[in-house]
Amino acid sequence: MKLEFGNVVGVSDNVLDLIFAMLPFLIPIVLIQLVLMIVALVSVLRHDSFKMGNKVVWVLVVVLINIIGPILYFVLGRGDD
Amino acid sequence: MNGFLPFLKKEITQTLRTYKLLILVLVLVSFAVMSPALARFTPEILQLSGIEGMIALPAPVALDSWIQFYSTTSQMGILALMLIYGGILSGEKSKGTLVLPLTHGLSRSAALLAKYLVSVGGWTVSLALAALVNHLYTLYLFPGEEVAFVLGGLASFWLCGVFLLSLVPLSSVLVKGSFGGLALPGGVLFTLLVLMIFPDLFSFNPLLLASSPLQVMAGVDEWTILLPALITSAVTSAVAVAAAMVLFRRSSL
Repeated sequence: MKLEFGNVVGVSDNVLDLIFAMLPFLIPIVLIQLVLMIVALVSVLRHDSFKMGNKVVWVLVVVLINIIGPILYFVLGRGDD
Repeated sequence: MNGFLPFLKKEITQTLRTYKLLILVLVLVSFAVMSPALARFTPEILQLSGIEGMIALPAPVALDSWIQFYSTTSQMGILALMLIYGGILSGEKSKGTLVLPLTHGLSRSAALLAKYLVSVGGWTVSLALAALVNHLYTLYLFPGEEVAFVLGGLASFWLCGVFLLSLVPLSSVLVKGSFGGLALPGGVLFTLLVLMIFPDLFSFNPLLLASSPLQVMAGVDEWTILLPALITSAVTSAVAVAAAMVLFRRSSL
């Protein structure tokens, strides 16, 4: 391990070092994606009427498209309570 | 302005309960997490993928993480902002859910203003949180490096977003349909992008506020280059909201 932040040249010369150095970024990103997905998924499953599309379509969109999928659902799909 | 405060409270509850604010915050914060990492690790990623030798890459600095942040947020971020808050008035107009509170004494100006302020508030909170995350990660990856004009730049960028949000109420009053609120901002955004080609009109273009702060942060320009665009944006925003209130009072629901 020769991780040295602030010093650019030769910080890491193998993939594992690089991935390790990027963990403080990768973990939050994955968590954010999960939160968005779960919030949207719960909402899709609780609703029966949608502005457009149906339950199956929205489950697929929300689960398969990172970040953009949940936004699309809340903007275009979410019906009234 | 009858019923302004209760309606504002209801709108705030709604922006939280429909997850609008949560989504905008999460989207912008995710850009803020990615930007410093992309700025910092791109040389290594290229090195490992074996194409490093073809292009000479300068060592990344703290400013690069802000450059990355502005470029993602000004495109995907603004897109998310407009999608999330573009339908606030149009949606209720086309569903007819505003008729009840309006016939029970809520003034139309109050309703419009409350909705507008909630969208501006959403943008303010999300941008502030994202900028804070970006700032902390930049400190972590580029310790000891100072970037000038960070707050001034963010304030300019914030005004650029406010400018676009100010067009939403006017657009919702003028254009029918549940996405009527996006017609005017979309058209104006497109026109302003085209106008960026003409240098004579350049300095007044509100879109400048989403990119030129970087010139100031890099020390290439003085902050005064932003002044014409700041004034255009502030004045246009105020006029657009005032016009929307006047027209909304006269329009049929």
